[in-house]
Amino acid sequence: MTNILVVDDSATMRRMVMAALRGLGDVGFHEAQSGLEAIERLSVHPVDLVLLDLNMPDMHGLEVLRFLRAHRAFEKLPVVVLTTRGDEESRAAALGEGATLYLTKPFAPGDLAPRVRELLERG
Amino acid sequence: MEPGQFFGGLMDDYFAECDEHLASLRRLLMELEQDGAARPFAEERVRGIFRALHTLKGLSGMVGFAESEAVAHALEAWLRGAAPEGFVPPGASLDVLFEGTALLERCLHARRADAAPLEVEAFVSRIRRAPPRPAGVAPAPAAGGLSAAEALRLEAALARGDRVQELEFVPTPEGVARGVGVEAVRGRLSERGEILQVVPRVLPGRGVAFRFVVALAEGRDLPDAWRADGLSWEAPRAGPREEAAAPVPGAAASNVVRVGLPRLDELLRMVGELVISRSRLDDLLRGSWNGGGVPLDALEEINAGMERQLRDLREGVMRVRLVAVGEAFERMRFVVRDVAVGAGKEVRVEMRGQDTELDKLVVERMLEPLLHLVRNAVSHGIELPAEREAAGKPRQGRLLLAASAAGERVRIEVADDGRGIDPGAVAARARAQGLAVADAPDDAALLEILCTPGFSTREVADLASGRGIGMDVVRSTLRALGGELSMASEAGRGTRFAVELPLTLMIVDALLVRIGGQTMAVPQPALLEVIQVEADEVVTLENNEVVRYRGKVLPLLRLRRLFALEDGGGEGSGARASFPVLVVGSEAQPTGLAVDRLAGLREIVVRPLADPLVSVPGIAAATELGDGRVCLILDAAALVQLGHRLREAAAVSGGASSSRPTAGVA
Repeated sequence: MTNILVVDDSATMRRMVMAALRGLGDVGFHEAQSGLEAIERLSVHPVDLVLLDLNMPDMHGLEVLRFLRAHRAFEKLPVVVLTTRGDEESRAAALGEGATLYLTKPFAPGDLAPRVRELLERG
Repeated sequence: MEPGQFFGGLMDDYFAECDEHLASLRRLLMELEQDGAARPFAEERVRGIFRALHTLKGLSGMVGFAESEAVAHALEAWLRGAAPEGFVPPGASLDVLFEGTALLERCLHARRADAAPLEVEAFVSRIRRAPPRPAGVAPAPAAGGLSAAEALRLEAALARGDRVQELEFVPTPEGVARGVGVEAVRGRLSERGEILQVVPRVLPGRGVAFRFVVALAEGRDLPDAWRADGLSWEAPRAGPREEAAAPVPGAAASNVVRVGLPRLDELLRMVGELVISRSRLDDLLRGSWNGGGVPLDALEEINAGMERQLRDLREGVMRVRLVAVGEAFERMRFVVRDVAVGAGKEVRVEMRGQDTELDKLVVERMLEPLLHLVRNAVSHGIELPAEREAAGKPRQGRLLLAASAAGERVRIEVADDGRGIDPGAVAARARAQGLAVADAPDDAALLEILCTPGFSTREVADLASGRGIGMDVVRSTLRALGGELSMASEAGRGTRFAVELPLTLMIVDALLVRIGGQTMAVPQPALLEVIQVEADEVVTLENNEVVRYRGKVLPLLRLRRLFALEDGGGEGSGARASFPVLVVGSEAQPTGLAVDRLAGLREIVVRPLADPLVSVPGIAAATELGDGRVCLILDAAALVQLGHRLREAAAVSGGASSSRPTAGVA
């Protein structure tokens, strides 16, 4: 079973992401509502891929990414940044911090799953 | 598949969450405007506004609400241009954000009501600026140093005399499964003090630890029990005193209520008691199978116990519907600002008792009437700054929103320190409209005049107040909720409106019926069916009247006779050719309640009658119809039982009547 961690401070958005990824098949979800919780979940659960929102209170997604990439256990973990900021600067910043993929919201429901599947198969 | 369809099941979540973000926006904007000075806090607030807009944009885009998405996006872009360094320069106008937030509210409202999506292109184009530099909404530094805002908070905490405590939390799989995760720990600590900083760090392997820095007040200690949850700390560093957590933004007008865990635990406890009662019943019954029968007094005791427990549970569940009025007050504050700016007035809003709780439905229904009072106060009550100064008052008018609870009622006040109501002028205008008025009307009489349909709002039509609901509608709406309106005013000093409302509310759909000249209500859930019966279909069996119904026999209860009501002014008698019958009770054993006429469907507010002196079998509650008439509500279940007893009595005594209860409103 593939374990996916969905990180977003909006509960509704998390549910939407999970709904969009259910088509992936044998997949289990963990949720985190903040950067701190994301880090915590990663330390106590096995996780194969992370969907990470950037704009969260208390700990920005980029900080989370920076923290993860500095930790040997997580430096290769696939992280998909999912954010509303579509500008090039933000994209470059996220990829610079080590994001594996940079996607923007809103996304069409059918678009997310194939890209995530592709990432999982690649890994 | 259309995004709207794909995410259809999540729409309640979407609306509830948008409400929260809008509430945050309103609050942050008001805070920014009022005390924008303190720089680091202003930056935090701007970041908060960005986040709220981001989320609103993202969610709206996901469900295909393009207009909301466009407005949120436009506001975001505008803010980035207006706050390039991440804070709004002092003196800058935030009107665009206020306007945009109000527009977003309207967009969501339209979507909720399934109406056509609003046109927003005009607003969006108007606020469009030259493409802004993307702002550095820079993340705060990770480990070690405190950000500017955190440093300020630390200073404030030390100045208060709090002691600063460092703790470490190491999450474990078992702990997290049990619910003790970093967010839960954060919640616990917020209850005891102010969290100044949280920093994660790595441990060997996959582990992490979170270092918390907390300001704790005098006497606020960390329970040793927490050490078993993965928390560790050393003796504190020095100094006393305390303060509390950031309030969770409450959900506003939606079909969803947030329930605190303590309340749910309490309900669960009550359910537990019922379970125990039932199992005692079980024991008794089991015992009786072993011969010897069931001890009646034990049964009585259990029955009485369960009745009490059910009543407590019912009340407990009703209390789940309670929400704090603070949220409604915040929305009123927002409106005050709008109206004041539009009218050139300066108004300061004071609030008291924001934590007072009220039924969510009551809050939603009374919001419009209260907003009307608030708009009135700002448009007409409070004078222009120059006028106030000339009268020796401070330039800034004061509007007080206060809530307090007394037993089963909640009192809400809207008070201003404006020009007050001029009794002479109102009386004169009333007389000119042909109303009979005393020479020197007191406050109660003045209120009566103001609430006369069509009295003042037409004449003082202005965009802010003339929204189509007058004082008469305010009062009738409040009355329909079981509330009452009162007023106190002093010319030159100000006016205070007070609203008293019941704490909890039950609203049901009901069928109104006419029985012997009286109107009564039957809650729709109690009705199986309504049929029309011809007089000659009624057959008498063993002294009981019945009709054929769905292949069975339906016993009839003639309510007019039961309640011994006289025919009101020739509305009909037993000699009627046909009459309606309400079929109630169980599907297996229904009973028919015969009435004179049907009088329509109505949504009514149920006011239970608890006074033992007015207890009549078959009547459990009353309601007030919109026109001020009081109407009794029939208790169908009780009537069914009453019918059974009367039938048995009739069969036994061969037709001689047993006691008949009387009922009705004089």
